[in-house]
Amino acid sequence: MNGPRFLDPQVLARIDNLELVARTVVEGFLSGLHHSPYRGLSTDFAEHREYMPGDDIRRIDWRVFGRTDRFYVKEFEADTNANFVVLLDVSASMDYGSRSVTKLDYARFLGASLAYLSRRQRDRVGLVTFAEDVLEVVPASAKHLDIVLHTIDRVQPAGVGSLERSMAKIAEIIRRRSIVALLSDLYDEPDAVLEAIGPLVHRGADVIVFQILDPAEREFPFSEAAPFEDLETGLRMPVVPETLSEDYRTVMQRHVETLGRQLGERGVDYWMADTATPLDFTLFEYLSRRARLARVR
Amino acid sequence: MQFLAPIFLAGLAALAIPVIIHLTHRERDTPVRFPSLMFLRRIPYRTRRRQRIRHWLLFLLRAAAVALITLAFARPLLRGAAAGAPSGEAAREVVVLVDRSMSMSAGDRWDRAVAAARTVLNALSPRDRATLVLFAERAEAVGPTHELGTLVAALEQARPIPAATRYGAAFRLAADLLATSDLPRREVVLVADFQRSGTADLEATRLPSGTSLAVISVADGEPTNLAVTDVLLDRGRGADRSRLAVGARIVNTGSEDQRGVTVALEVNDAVLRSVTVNVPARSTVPVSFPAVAAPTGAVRGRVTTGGDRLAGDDAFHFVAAPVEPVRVLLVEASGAPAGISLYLERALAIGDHPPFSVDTRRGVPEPATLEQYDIVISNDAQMGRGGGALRAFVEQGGGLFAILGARASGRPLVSAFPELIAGAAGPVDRLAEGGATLSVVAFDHPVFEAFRAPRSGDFSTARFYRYRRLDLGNSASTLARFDDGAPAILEAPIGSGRAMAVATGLENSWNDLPLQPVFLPLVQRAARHLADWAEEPISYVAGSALDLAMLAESIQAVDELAVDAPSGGTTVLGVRGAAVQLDEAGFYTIRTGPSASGGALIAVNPPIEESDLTAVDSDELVTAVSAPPAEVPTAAGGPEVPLGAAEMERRQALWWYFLLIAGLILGIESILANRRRGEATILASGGT
Repeated sequence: MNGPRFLDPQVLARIDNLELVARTVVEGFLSGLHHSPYRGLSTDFAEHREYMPGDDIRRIDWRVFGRTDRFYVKEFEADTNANFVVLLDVSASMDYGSRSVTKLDYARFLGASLAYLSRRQRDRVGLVTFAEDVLEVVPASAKHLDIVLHTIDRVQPAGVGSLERSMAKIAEIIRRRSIVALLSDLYDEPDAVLEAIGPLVHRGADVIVFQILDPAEREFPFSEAAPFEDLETGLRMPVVPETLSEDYRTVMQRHVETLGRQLGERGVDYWMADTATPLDFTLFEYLSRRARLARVR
Repeated sequence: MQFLAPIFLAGLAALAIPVIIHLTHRERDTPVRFPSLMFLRRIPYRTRRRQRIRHWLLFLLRAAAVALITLAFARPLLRGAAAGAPSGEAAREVVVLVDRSMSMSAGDRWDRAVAAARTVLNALSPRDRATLVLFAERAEAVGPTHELGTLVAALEQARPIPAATRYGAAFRLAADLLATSDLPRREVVLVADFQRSGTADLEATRLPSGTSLAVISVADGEPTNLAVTDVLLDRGRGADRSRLAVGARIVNTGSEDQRGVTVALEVNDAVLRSVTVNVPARSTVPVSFPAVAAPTGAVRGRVTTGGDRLAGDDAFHFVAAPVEPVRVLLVEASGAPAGISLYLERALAIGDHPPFSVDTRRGVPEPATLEQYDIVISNDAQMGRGGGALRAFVEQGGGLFAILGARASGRPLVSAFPELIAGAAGPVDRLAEGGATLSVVAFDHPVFEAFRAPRSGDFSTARFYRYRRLDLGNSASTLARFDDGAPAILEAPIGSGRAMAVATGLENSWNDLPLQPVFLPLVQRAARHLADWAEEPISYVAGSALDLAMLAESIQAVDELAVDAPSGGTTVLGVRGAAVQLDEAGFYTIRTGPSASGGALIAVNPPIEESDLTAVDSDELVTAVSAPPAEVPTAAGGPEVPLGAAEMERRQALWWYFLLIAGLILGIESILANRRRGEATILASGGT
C-alpha cells in the first residue's frame, strides 16, 4: 500500500523511552515541513571552535583563553524567540482507555512529540502539569527538553480536574509570549473552557487546544446495564446503555462541535484527538492546519 | 423426514432459555469506570416497557445450537426419494428403455434414438446406477451397473430387429428392476416412436410409486408405408405339381394414395412375375400373379413392393412346399353291398387341405398293409380277426375311424379297444318316433370346432333311425350324444394314435346324416384329426420360437441340427429339447448337421402390426403406466422398498451432522461471547 503509514498509539505504548517515542514520531514524518513563525535574532551558545583568521575577534571567548591560553571562538546557533509550553491535564479522568492506550498515555506521547518537534526548530520548551491545581512546572528553555520529557514520563493521574484555577495560575507563570499546547479531555462546559483559557489568550499566548478523547467516550459502545463510576469524583449512577446511548452520543457530539466553534471564534486552535488515531497522523494533520492558518494570518 | 425418538423434540422448549437470557437486562455488579458522568447526568431518565432481544447474533447462534442438539437427540430419519443425501443430490436408479422394434428402422429413427439414449446415459453421475433395456416383443436388460460405458457400448452395438413393439414387456422389466433397487431416486426414460400397436399389452402394467418417467419420442409424423402383409399360395397336385399360383395383399398404412406401385414375385431368387397396382390411402389391395412353373420340391419365394422409409415390411418371404396327401384305407365288410362307402369316398375326394388318397378294400387288412396308411376307416366292417394288428397300428400313431352300422356289432372293437368302448348292444330302433337327433355336440373338440359359430353347421336336422348303444371305455370321451343320452361319437387316445367310433352307419340307411351339409366337413375334419395332420405354415412371424424336435423328425436328423440364419450365421443345436428363436426376417435353413447340404426351409416375416406407424400420444402412455395418484408418495412417505443396511444407516446419520454443526456454532458463540465479554470488561475497567 502506498502513501503515509502512521504509527499506532498502541505500538508506541510499548516503547518505554519517551524521548525515543517523540523522536520516532517526529523524525518519522518531519522533513522540513515545519517552519517556525517566530524566527528571531537571539543566540544561544552551541560550542567552541578554534579561532581562524578572519573570525570576528569579538566572538573570542576570553575565559577560555585565560584557562587554556588558546583562542576559541563561541559558536551560536540561530534560534526562535518563542517559548513552547505544554499544559498537560493529569486529572483522574485522563486515566481512561478502552484500548491499551489511555488518554493520559496519548497526551504524554503527543506532548513529548510536540516538545521534541519544537526543540528541533530551536524553540524553548516548557511544561506545566495540572489537575485540580498546577502540579509541576518546567520553565521554557532551550535546555529543558530532557527535563520536560522526564517530567512527562513520570506524571501520575490523580485528582479532580479544574481548568479554571489551573489556567489562571499558568497565566501568571508564563509571562513571555508563548505557544501553549493544552492537552486535556476538557470535561467542562464550553463557556467555562473559554473562560479558563482567557487569561492566556489575553497575555498574547498562542493557545492550541488538544481535546483528548477515547473512542468509547465518543461512541458509548456499552450494552449492559451497570453502575457507572466517575473516575474523578467516584460518584456512581445506574446506567442502562440501551436507553441512553443515542442521547449520550448526541450530547457528546454537540459538546465537541460547540467547543470547536467557540474556540475558533476566539482565535484558539482546537483539535480533537482520538486515542485510536495514529499519533503522527494527528501531528501531520495539526501541523498542516497550522501552516494553512499561518498563511492566512 | 421423521424421528426415531420424537420424545426428545420436547427439548425444543429449551429455546426459551436463550430468549430469556437475551431479554433480561441483568445489571452488572462491578461498576463501569468512566471518565466523567457529566453528560450522562444531563440525559433525562426514560423507561422502555417493551423488552427487546439484545445481541441478535449471539441469540441466534445459541438458539440454533439448542435446536440442533435437540433434533440430533430425536434421531432424524430421511425417507423417500425426496430426502436429500447429506453429501449432495441422492443417487438414482435409472432404467433407459430403448425401442428396437422394426418400426424404429424407418428413416433415421434409430440413429436419433441412439443419440438420445447416449445423451441420457452420459448425463448420469458416477453414483447413479443405470440399466439399458432394449425391447421389441421381448425386453432384454443390460445392467444394472455403475459402469455407464458398458451400457453405451451395448447401445452402440444394438440394431432394430423385425419384431413387434410391446411397451408392456419393457415397463414390466423396468418395474421389476426398480422394485428391488435400494437407491432413493428412481427414474425411467423411454426412447421410442410410440407406435400405437405396441400399447396393447399395457393393461395392469404400473411402475412403482415414486418413479419418474421421462419420454423421448423419435416419431416423425406419419410416413407413407407400403407393406406386403400376406401371401396366398395355390400349388398344383399330381401332374400339375409344378404349377404355383401366388396372391399377395398390399397394405398402404399412410394417408396418401400410392399409384403405380410395382409388386414383384421372386421364386428361388429369380423375379418371375411383376404387376403394377394403385393402393389408396389406408387401404389393402389384393394382388394375384399369373401362375408360374416352380420346382416340385420346396421353393423359396418372395413378394416385394417398392422401397419406402420402412424397408423391413417391403418383402414377404414364403416357402412353397408340395402338400403330401393323407393316405386313407377304407375297409368294407366282405359281404357289404356295393356303394356302401359312396358318401365317404365322395366326401374325402373333395378338398386339398389336405388332399386324401383313399384306397377301398374288403375284408380284414394285413398288418403290412396297414403301415402304408395314415388312417383306417372301418365302414361297418367286422374287424374281429385283425383287431390286434389294428390296435398296433393305432398305438404307433395311426388313426381308426370305426363306423358301427348294421353289420358291425362292435364287440370285436370292445375286445381290441376297451379304452374306447366298454360294451356294445344291439341297435336301438327309433324309426317309429321319426328318428332321433343329436342333442349334445362337443364344439370345443377339433372335429366340431368349425361348427361352433352360428350358422356354421346344423346337426339338429339329421335324423337317426337306428343306432347301437355303446358303453364308454375308460379313456373315451363323448363327442356327440343322441337325444336319449346315448353316445353317438366316441374318441379315445390309444398309444400314439387315436381311435374314434360312430354308433350308427354312414351309408344313408340308419340315418340321413350323409345327406346333410355338415357331413362332408365332418368326415374331412375327423379324418384330418385322426391323421394328426397340420398344415405347414408358409412362413413364421419373427420373434416366435421353432420347436426343432418336430422338424428334426421330418428331416430325419439324429443328434444335432445346423441352423443357418438369414444373416449368414450358423448355429449348431442338439435335437432334443432344442428350439430356435426366429429373430431375423428371411429364410432359415435347418440342416441335419454343419456339413450337411439341403435341409428344411423356414421363411420368417416381421409382424404385420409393425407396418402401422400410427403413433400414440406420449402423455397417454405415461398416464397408463404411472402409479395412480393415491399411490404417489408424499414428501413424508417413501416408496415401500426394502432398504439396504448402508442406505438405512445413511438415512439415520443426520443426527451426526446436526451435532457437528451445533458444535461449530457453539465454538463460534464462545469466541464471540468471549470477545464481547472482553470488550465489556475493558470498557468497564477503563483499560487500567
